[in-house]
Amino acid sequence: MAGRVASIRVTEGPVAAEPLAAAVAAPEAGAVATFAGVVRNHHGGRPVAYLEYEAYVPMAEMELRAVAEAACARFDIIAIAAHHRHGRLQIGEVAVAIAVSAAHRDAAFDALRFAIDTLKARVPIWKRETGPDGDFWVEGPERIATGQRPG
Amino acid sequence: MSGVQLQVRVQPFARAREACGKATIQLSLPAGATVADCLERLQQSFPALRALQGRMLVAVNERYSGPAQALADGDVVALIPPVSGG
Repeated sequence: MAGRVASIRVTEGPVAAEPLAAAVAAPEAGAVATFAGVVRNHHGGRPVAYLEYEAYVPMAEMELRAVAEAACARFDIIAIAAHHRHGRLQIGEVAVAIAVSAAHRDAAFDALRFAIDTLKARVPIWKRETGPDGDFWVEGPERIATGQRPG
Repeated sequence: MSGVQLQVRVQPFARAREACGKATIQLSLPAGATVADCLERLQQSFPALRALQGRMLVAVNERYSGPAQALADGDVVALIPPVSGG
């Protein structure tokens, strides 16, 4: 029986892993694996004061759901849930939370890894970091200064 | 100005929005215009978008689309620079 997508949300409110673990729990699940992506205070050796996540909300929710459905198709899991926050986030706040349940831990770990890796490649959400030397859009491995910039 | 035109609403995001200087752009395009035609018109109006040429994806009505996709009246076209969620 294929896994189910338990809860998908892109929201300005706080997100957390624990409620998602509860949402994916099932009597058949021997493993519940969770991930929380947390705002850290540095990037590429530079300090970060805070982040702002911008989201194309309706499409981000669709793409997040598509990532969850892909995880259900590829791995023998029972349920998956993923919430992503947008707006201004301070150091230590949770930007993304994912929970996966499965009968056994291998599938739970693998599906969780797949979900965060795929989400980061597909979902139309962008982070802009603010530090002592200004604001930068994060684009893959690059940081691009915001506003007008020569070259 | 005659002939059938279609109206699309362009929503640039992140660095693309900064290049355009606005969050929403209404465009009038000739019937049969494609995503590529829309991008070409936008780059004429907003030259700063050229810095993102080849580095943006486009979504039409919230679905990733290719340059050859034909547009229809009322479509919403999103400009999507390299994403960095998670």
